[in-house]
Amino acid sequence: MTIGNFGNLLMLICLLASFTQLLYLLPKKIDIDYRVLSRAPFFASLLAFTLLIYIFVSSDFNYQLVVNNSHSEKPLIYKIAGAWGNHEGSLLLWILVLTIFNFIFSYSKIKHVDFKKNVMAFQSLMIFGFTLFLLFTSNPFLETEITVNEGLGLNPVLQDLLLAIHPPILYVGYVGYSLVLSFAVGGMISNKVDREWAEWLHPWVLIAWIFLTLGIGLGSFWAYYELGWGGYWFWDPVENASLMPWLAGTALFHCVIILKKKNILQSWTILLSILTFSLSLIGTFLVRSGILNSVHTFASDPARGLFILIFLAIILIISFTLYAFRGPALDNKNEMNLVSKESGILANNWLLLSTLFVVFLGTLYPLGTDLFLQKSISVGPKYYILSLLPITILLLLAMIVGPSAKWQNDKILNIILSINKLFILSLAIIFGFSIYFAELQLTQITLLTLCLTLIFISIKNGLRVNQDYTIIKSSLGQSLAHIGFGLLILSVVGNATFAQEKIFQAKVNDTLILDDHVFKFNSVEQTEGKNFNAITATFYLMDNKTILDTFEPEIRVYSNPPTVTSETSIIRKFLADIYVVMNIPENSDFVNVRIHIKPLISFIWLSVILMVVGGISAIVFRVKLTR
Amino acid sequence: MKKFNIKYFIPVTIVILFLIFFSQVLNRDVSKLSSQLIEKPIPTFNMPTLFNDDQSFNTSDVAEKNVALVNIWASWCIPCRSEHEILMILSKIEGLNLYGINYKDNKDNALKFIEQLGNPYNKIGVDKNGRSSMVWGVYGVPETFIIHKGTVIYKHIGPIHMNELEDVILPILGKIL
Amino acid sequence: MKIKLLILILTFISFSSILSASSKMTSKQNDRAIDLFKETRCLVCQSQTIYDSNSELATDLKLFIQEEIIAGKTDNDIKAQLVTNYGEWILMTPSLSKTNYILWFSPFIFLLIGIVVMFKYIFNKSTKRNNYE
Repeated sequence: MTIGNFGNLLMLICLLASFTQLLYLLPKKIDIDYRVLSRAPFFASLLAFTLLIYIFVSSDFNYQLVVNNSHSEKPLIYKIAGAWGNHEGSLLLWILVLTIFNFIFSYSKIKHVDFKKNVMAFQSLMIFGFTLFLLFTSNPFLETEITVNEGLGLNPVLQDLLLAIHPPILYVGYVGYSLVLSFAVGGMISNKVDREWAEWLHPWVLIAWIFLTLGIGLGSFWAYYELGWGGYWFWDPVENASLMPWLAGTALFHCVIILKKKNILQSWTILLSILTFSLSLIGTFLVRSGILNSVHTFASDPARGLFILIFLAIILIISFTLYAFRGPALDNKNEMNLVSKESGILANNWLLLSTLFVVFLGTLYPLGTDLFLQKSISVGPKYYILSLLPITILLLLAMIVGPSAKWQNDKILNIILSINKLFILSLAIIFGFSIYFAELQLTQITLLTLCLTLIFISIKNGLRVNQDYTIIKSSLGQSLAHIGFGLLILSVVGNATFAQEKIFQAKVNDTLILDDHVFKFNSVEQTEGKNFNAITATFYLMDNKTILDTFEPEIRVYSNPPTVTSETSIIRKFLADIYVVMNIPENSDFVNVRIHIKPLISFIWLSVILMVVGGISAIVFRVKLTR
Repeated sequence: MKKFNIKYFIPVTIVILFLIFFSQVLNRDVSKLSSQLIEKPIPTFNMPTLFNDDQSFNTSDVAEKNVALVNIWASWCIPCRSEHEILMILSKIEGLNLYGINYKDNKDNALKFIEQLGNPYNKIGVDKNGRSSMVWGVYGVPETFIIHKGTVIYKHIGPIHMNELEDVILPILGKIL
Repeated sequence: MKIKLLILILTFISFSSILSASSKMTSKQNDRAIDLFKETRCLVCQSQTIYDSNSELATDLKLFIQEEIIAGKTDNDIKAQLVTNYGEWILMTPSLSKTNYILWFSPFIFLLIGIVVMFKYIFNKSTKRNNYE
């Protein structure tokens, strides 16, 4: 039996096992050890995925996937990453993550049997559907029709360590919300959507969120370092496809907190739980069906698109119909007051969803005009920035006021008193900056002041102490994550305002000046790497006669597949990055160099880490319901 | 007490509408951008010709014909070579006037190309720097436009393959010739 | 062999002509040009602007824009000409035309709907929002 045959067999086992699990879980009376049921799909997928990696690592060109995506000279780590750097492999990874969550959940100590069964049943339905999709349209173990001795290679732009780990991390986030959906479905069927349900759900919504945040951050980090465009976010459809579930997921865990504490907003929480994974699914449909043009899209195939759409339709219609019937019965008496933490969180929810609406609309509108008006339009970054500006301002306000409000009922005056000093301090700092350093416009002043206020308030909230002067750990997560978000917006605004760049035509020994940075073009030479040849230029950043830094941008020529890439040279300083990219024109004796000065970039990455650490703290120190 | 509230059916309705929307979008080929010019009069242009520097190829040459076909090509464009056969076939059609625009090419190479593969065109305009072709919304070669009484009715991006000739081009021509 | 391969592939990177045109522009014109470059989509590059792209089409379009600026055309003239030639698709920011009203205005409507619904929820207590509706 060949490896491919064995792989197919394993996925068939996964298919049958998940179907069996679905059947076993439906009848009410059967009493089973759930851990046993979830094992077969999990181990089968894990083994199949290991085999997939093996055929890539051993460069087994009997398999079409390996031929299309790998090459024997590729460094080991990129052979491994090649396994999931394509449609079929990443789909197998998707299934694996589905089974992992199912498996781990089967070990949870939830004693509500009916609920647990329903959750696992729905999860198995999804495993079944995706495995069916894999076996019928996207089998990674398909053998080649003709014998081939070498592969076509992996796009060198994808040969990067960060990018190699970006999909697995992103998928744990993306697919983690599948379990959240199963929780919602299970809760609706078992009529168990209450504080206890929220407590069971709480760690899962946070885990998925943490990985999704980290995954998006990594992707953005990679785009900045590798693509050489000087940017870190392009409002590209695939980026948007990962941002949308993130926005819904952020709104969701805030709701879960309210549900856990106050036992209200049940149907809203369920709706968000369904929405988040729906967005993951829609995202995957958009990316893999080829209907959107993007630098990210995998090879498209309308047949595949149709399959995904059908699967998507089944999951969404089941979930949303269930919501239509069970939703009304879920809610408790509403006791929310206008001035309270709950209303602050609800405001935050709606602002996040408004952001989601803008991103969704911007991504899909061109499809709409194409379909209904036979007209193609582009929706570029300016649309998103202009539309999101007012929403972001309101969101920052909500994040400042919300955590400062008390649960249940508070007075506006009290809230204002608790934030006014820090607000005034922030305003003073920003105004001072505007007067003494660099003039700022009103929008920038507003945003920066709010960000700074948010950071200060969040630090203050994080330092709250108990009676015995120990820090209240349960608010650490919120504090860190909010500091992270405030820092993120602050850095983005700062970078956009103060970034500078210039294109120079340079010959060796030229001096290039940007702002008050002086660069000396030292040399150009031919160099070699593991699977490429390169032309490397050397630039020195000078301070009078001293060399402060060395920049070495390259033009690389790969042979498998034949590609030319431009490698950026970036030096990170505390307050700014200096970013140098080069291009070599035809028949000339000079080089075109693009030098960027990009302030606050490192703080963007720091803010993502803060949010992730905040999420981890939130899980570790979460408040448990007392019985 | 059973509860029923029609408002809770709003999400599923929205979802179904979107699913229908997506299924319609799937059936469209997004990579072929619909031409800006379709159903608009042909753009204004004037360029020298390949064989005779004094002669010009301009808007009225194409606009006054009942049915015309404008093909943008270059000698360095490999798909243009295979497409040329198809153009030779089209040139035999009664009532169809073919015009070519030689895009960003070297004169000698272009002449050699025509010499070797034949001349299906009434006239060949020369667009040395690609500027004149911009009004046609050209962004690559080859591209072909079918024009009926001075209005663009079809744009073909990329080379015309035999099956496309049979399935798409000839039917369109059949309706207007 | 390696050098030949390099040169062969490098002949496809072309930049020189743009900069010769740019040297004829004033600093303000140059800024205008750069802003327009960032607003114009590279039609063959998937989501890049012509400012970021090195493709041939991007180079041609950059030259075209520079020449039009030198010839005295306004930004709107130039954008209009690009749209006439290539379609609205070539501009990165969607216009404020009737067909795009939904795109630009519906987010605010969405926000307003939310505010209205939230207020209704907060202010309709006990009597409406309980289990015995």
